[in-house]
Amino acid sequence: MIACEYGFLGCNELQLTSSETAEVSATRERISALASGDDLPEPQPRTGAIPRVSLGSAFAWSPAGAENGSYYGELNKNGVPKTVHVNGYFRSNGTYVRGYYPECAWYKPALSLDSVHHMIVFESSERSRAISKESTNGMNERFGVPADVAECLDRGKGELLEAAERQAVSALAGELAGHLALTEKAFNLIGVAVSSLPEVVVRDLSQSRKVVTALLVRLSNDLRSAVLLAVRGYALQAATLVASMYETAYTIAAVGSNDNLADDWINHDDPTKPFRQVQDLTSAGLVKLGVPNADAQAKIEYRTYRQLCLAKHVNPLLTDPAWLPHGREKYRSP
Amino acid sequence: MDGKNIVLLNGPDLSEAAIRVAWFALEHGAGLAFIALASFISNHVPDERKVDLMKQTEAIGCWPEGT
Repeated sequence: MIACEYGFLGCNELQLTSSETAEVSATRERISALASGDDLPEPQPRTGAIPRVSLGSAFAWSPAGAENGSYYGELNKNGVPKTVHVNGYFRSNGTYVRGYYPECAWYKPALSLDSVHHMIVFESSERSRAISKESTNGMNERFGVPADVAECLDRGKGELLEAAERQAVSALAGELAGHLALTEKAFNLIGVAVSSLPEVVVRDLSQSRKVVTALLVRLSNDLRSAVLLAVRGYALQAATLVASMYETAYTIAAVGSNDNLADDWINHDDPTKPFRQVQDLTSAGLVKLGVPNADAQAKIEYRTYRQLCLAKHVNPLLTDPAWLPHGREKYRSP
Repeated sequence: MDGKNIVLLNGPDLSEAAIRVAWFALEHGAGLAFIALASFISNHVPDERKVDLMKQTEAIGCWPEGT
């Protein structure tokens, strides 16, 4: 019934009894009146207990119009539709603040992308003081967001994170087109390779097959995650993941079909040390793969690992253009 | 930075430097997938599937024609 009262998608009016139908109509009329602003209650001192509303339920539904007259989809001053409804609440002095659609939808349920992509500016505290005057209990009333975020929005420096990431995808899809096609091919091929293994009962599985199959699946997911990050404009985070992929790939190569080494990997129990030194894994892996001049090649590969680790270890050298790694520009789309 | 303020930006980075890092990361990510696949196929995939899968794996190193 609540679903029907508040317009949830799960509402099925056919399942309502006649008394429930009447109650739903009454609630809808009340919401409609509130939305039109005709029947708004005057601010009243708070009396009695206020029902506890969890953050989740506060944002679980969005009535067509809020108590203060703002409505779903109304454009804010930046031309972005308002989509987040904030329920009415009582201020510390007891007055009631009507429900509304804030100018900037900064918070939403977890995992939503509708967060603010904001510029962080350290500057004179004059503006901060002005913003803090507008705030009650850490919430800024003008923007309907926490005071620290309001300060950023006040300068017009903020934008919705989802919009910023969409823009990044459109800008980078062309720049990374060749790379995206290649990584997708690699991801799919790992799936094909793993599924080509014959079915065997678990007790007949070798230790090495268990380990390398698990690591290969992990590697393919890391690759996919790196792509998702890179194409949304998080290149450093993608490089961090690829540094981890390096360790996985050369562990796979070093273990190969060696069940004893696979056992060592399974039984490794030192949280302060890796299973083997990455440089040793690189050399062992290349030797097992039959790469000619493996030692020299291992040095080259390991240098790549160190470059990837510049991102992983927050090394400031990565901000120096002279140290920036060069991807193969020939793969750049025209 | 304008001498008075320090500006940091969180969220997506579309700078040329960031794009170069993305190229580097994805290019080597695919290369590492190649290393792992080559080892996996040669050690664990049945012989009758090896040739075909190795051929496809080697193609990871080939980029779309015309690039």
